[in-house]
Amino acid sequence: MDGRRRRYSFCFALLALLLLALLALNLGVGSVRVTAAELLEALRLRGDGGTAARIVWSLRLPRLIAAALLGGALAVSGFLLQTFFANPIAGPFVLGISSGAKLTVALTLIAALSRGIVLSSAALIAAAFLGSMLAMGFILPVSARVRRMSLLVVCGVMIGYICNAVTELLVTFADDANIVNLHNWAMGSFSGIRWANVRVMVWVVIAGVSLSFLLAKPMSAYQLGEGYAQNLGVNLRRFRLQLILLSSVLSACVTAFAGPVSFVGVAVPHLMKSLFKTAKPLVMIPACFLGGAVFCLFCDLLARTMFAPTELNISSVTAIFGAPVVIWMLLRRKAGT
Amino acid sequence: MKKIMLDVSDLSVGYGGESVLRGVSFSVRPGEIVTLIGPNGAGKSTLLKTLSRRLAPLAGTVTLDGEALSAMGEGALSRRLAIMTTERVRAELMSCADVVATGRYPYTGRLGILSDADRQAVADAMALVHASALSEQRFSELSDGQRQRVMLARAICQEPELLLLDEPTSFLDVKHRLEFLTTLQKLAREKGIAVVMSLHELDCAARVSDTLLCVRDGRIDRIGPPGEILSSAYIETLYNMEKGSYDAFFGSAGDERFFQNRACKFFPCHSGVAEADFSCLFCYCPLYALGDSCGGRFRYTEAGVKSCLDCDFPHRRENYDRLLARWPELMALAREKDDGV
Repeated sequence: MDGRRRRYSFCFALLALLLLALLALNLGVGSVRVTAAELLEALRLRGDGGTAARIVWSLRLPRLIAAALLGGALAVSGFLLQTFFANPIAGPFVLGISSGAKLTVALTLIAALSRGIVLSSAALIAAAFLGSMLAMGFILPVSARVRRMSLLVVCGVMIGYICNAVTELLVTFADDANIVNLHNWAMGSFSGIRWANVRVMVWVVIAGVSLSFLLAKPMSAYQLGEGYAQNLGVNLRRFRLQLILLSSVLSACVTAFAGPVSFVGVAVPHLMKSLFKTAKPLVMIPACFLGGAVFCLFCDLLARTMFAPTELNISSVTAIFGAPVVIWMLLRRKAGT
Repeated sequence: MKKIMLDVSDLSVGYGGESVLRGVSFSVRPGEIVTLIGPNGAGKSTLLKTLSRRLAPLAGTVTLDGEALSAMGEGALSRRLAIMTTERVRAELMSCADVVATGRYPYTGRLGILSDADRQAVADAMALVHASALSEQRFSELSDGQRQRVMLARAICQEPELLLLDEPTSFLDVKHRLEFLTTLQKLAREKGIAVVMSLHELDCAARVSDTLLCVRDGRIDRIGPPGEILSSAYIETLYNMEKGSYDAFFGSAGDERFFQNRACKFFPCHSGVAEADFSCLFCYCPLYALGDSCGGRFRYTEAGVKSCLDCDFPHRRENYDRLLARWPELMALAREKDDGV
């Protein structure tokens, strides 16, 4: 028991350390190098200093906060979905939920742009949430019918393709100068996030993750199977609804601001399970949040700097690191059975 | 006579409005063991699911301590009633102690953190089913038989008044099966826990139960103590067998009966036969593990495997005393084997 606790503390400390290091790196590294003194100045003056300080304050800081928060939200959302479907490769991206959100956000953006309306962050989240729920509305009946986890994922990927196709179509036929911008977002990126966005997403993500943490107990019962969960006093209908709503809100928040980000939702929970050697929700929810933050900060750092000044879209980087994890997981699972 | 704990009256159970069993009425008192027997698909599991409120009844009422089951709160019910199902348990990265600890769910706080008292309850429950040695082992690495013992500990840990068990011994070998049933009897006698379960093994059902419920053709065909119900002729009717397939042996006490299936293609006894092919009611020789000193007829195959193909030693009533006399020796052997794992 004590050995376990020691392991948890060690892993949490490790994640916190990585998080701090990556936060510092993300602030300092970029096409403009920033010294420690300039960093401090930027934080003190809130962007009133020189060019470097302004870059840090108005570009890098909101961006890295967003990358950390949204990465964490995505990983937690993935963990919730994996619990819900009892399927370790379920995640908002794989199941087409991110693509559903992308579709409705694109629709809303195009409609708003053509009328010259500027959308608020909350409106974007609401649109993404609607899309997530729509995609969920397709995947739930499928999951009721198929018990094979691979089939569920294939259906999710198909739903994702359909949504992507419709989004592409919309983007192609909606001629507007802002479409370029939209296209950038549709590929997934943390760039262009402003303080106004961050202020909204902080509340949504913190609320979503905290509520998920409060579901840790019924989740642990649900991990045994539905029958046992019900016998232990879990109100299945209510609990399932809570899981779906929370995971949708979290992944919708990500899609609203950064577009669809691939593989974080599947790879991070798996990496955390391997690191902590447990699947207990009480440990996994904070671990996934921290792990997702670390993972996305790392990937965003690469996306910004690898081919600077050209930026990669975040999904290409997360896929490079995330997809092999998923493949490795599938192979190991196969070997185990 | 103790007061009635579980009262089932005129219950219909089934899926999607279509009933599998109709007109089920029986009652269970504290410390009583009631066993459902009958062929596969007769509705035993469906009935158990309805009693655990997993399925809504199609008609009729179920009361627990005089309170309607349907009106009870989730928390209250989970402290009174524990289940063990045939559902495959997913227990990712969980140790056996973790799995057993889920039984403490109704007693822990908002986040489900275990207190010292909870941990003690987990340890006690595991000791009761002789699974203490498995405590830190991964649940996913256990054999099916070991899993069943851990799942019983999990149910015990929930401190229920009523245990509902669906084929709890299906993966246990004969030693552990009898040990499991002895544990159940102890729970019933000492803690007053009532047990309603389904069993495939008639000899076990007859030995351990206070009441047998025979499920057949969409209804409860007979209810009563094993001694009143089990006759060769009735068993043949219940399982739709050919006449003369089963012999009943009568003990001097009158209520202990043992059966052998003469129609079994492996009769009188067997080894190296796939479990799915077993149809006899005493399919494993409990003495097999004793090697050379079992007392029956056997030979060794070329591969060095003990084969008792033409031995009917455990089926013969006159040998039961000798079988039971060797019980402690067998239990010790079984425990040694477990500890070695």
